[in-house]
Amino acid sequence: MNYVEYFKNSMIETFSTFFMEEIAFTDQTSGGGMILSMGVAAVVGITGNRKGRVLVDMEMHTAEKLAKVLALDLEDENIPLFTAAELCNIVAGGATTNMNNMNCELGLRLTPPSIFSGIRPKIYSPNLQTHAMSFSTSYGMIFLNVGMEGE
Amino acid sequence: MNNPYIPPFVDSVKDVFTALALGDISSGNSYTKESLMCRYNVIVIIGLSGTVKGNVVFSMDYGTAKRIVSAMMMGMEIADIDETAASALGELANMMCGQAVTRLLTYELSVDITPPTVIHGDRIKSIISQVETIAVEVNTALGAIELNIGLEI
Repeated sequence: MNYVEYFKNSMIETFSTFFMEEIAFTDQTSGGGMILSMGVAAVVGITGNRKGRVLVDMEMHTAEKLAKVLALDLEDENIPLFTAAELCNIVAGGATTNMNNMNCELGLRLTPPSIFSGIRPKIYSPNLQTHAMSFSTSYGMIFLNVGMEGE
Repeated sequence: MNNPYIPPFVDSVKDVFTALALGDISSGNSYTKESLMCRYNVIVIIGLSGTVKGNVVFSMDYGTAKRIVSAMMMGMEIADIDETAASALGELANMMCGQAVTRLLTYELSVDITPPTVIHGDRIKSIISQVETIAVEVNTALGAIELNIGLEI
């Protein structure tokens, strides 16, 4: 199975487990180049025998709706950002665990998530062939972008 | 700067900057961040995993970023932080962190780094770590760089 499928499946499973929703995978493109963020972006790095990064991107109001589902305190303005980061962390963790189980030589490990918000920030990962996936959810569109070295 | 793991990063930033002949460089104040925001609008992030997990973030303003890229490209005029410029900034951060993790081996810390990610735009708010983040002001001939280090030890 192509590694992208692990991440796609992990996103679908994560949504089913945490938000009780069967989300629709709508689109996938491959390439690279500058990404124009929707407003909230969470990045988790991957190290091991293959290196890369996972990016989860969404609009701020989507992050706010997700946080509300998890009954988190929206008084803290950072909570939607932490929710996006945790979603990215869980999706990346699920995918890399399954990849390591299939091939223990990969030895993939994750870095802690970092989170960015702003007015349409631009994001670029040099030297990575990236794969962008779109998911339609009742909370809004969520974009998953995965890139690994050595493709 | 009480944290013993911070100087290897600061020293590596200075060494790489000097090795690439990018001009004078000196480190200024270091402080623990209460605010989670990076000071500037151009950000390069590199993740760390291994004995120590965390993130290292270099932040700078657009002017400094363009001057650094221009100096790395033999004086070429840089109009915007496009993919080429972002690649140069990413490579610079990669060299700095690569050298820093080599230095961390002397503390018996085995750390691996991720490929760099470059982010830029207006009114960027960044949360690079949910643990204590130490910021170091680095003053260079090309402008100020804020080095943010968040390590889970």
